[in-house]
Amino acid sequence: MAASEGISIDQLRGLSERAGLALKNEELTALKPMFDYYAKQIRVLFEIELDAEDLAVMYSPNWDPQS
Amino acid sequence: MTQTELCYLTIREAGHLLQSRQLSPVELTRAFLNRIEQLDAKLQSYITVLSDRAMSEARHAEAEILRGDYRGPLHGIPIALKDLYDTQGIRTTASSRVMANRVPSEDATTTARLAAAGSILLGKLAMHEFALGGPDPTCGFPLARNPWNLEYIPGGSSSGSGAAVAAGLCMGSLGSCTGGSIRGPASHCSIVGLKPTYGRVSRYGVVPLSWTLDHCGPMTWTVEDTAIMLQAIAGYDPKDPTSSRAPVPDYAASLIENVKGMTIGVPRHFFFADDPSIDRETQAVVETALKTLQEIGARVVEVKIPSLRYAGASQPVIMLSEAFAYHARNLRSKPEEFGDMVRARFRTGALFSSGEYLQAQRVRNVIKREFANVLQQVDLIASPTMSNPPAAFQGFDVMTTTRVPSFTGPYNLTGMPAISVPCGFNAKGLPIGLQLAGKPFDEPTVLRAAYTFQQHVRLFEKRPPV
Repeated sequence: MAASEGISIDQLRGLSERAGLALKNEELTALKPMFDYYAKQIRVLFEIELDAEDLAVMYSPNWDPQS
Repeated sequence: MTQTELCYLTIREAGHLLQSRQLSPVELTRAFLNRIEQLDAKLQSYITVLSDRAMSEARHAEAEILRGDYRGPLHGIPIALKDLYDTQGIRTTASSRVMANRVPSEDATTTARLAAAGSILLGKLAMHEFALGGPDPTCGFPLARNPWNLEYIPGGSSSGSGAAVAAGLCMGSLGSCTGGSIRGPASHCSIVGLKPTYGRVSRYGVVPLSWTLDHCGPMTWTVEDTAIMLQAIAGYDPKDPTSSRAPVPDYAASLIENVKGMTIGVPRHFFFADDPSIDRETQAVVETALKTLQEIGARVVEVKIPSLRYAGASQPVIMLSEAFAYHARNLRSKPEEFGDMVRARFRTGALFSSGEYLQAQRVRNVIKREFANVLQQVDLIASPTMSNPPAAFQGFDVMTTTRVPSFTGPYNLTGMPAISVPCGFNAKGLPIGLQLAGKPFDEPTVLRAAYTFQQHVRLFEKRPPV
């Protein structure tokens, strides 16, 4: 998704089917502007320089097996 | 006292009268139920009004107070809840046909804590569907109107909470906030709304939108009332895995009318950018508020938080991805039960990749780190609450509102406490809010600054023309 400049309806159908959503053509057409907007936004997230220590998810080694 | 005067009392004022037995909870509750009956047909702030139950609770509270069992500042106070807070035996819909007939078997922790404090539950309030959609006429539930001008939205997603508190249809409410749903309607309705620190208030029994971004918090007419409600709901809850064990301070004690020595940072490069999508009039009103803070003793300095430019991408990717995870089964099996706006946005959340979600979470950590660095130099960060005034219902377009910069979302990413306090009106008479954000778990400083500002500008003296 991140690389799409303006996704085609066929590509959008493929993505939505993969997510388990069976969308009609008019639904895909209605979804496209929002998808394209976020696709453009997401590209920016990959421009930022991140360190290897910039984790997305952290698990504590101190978890309590009783809880 | 007239009905209007009763309904325009603050929680603090009413509490004094109730404690000293100059006012009965029955009289107070009846005044609110009458006012709801008279005004809510046009405001549409309530989904469910609990008249009989509220009067029964009021009589019970009256009996307790008369026999000397006064529980505290919320005893006998009529409140209402956004309709995603679970209420045992009372329908809780999240304004969606998906949950239209859902009756919880247990109270949310916050619902139970407010009841234990002696408050009277007037009813359940309108909201944007599943705390996201926007004012969607296809969701099947009432769309709350802005009491300052019925042609405009009251903000969202806690739309009914904003409208009802401003119009004097309840004394306080709880909203929920994933990207600004407490502070947005607070700003648009000229009330106070606090998003507490992540983990400060339990989310158990509150319909989720996004687990890592959701917060619960009070919406009231004054900062003092916000402190009272926060005191009742804050604190560790073993039923909420994200709940914090940090001690709960005495919030009322923080309400000292003094900001002398406080340093307030303003990231002008973001909140006051020369950007056509940010409303100039809003910026000008908030500039005046910043000058006021300086005049009353705060030091206002410019700060830089470069990663703020990524917040607008990070927050929605996280929010919509997590929302899809929660709603996936219903989106696949009964999509027709969702309103058009929320269905489209949840579907978008299905289309982000796992890599994009994780990258958004990594960027979130950078944003948190930069805020943490700045908060070593300043006590608070100030900005307009909203980049734009409330939109009109006519011509409302969800894509237009999606494109404007979010000034509230960054604090859902960082988990910092952030409040919206009224600071003025635009030329159309629509309210504008000042946002103040503080260090994690430093609600006392946030409340103190907001309280001092509110006592100085005294906008609480102006009620909407309903």
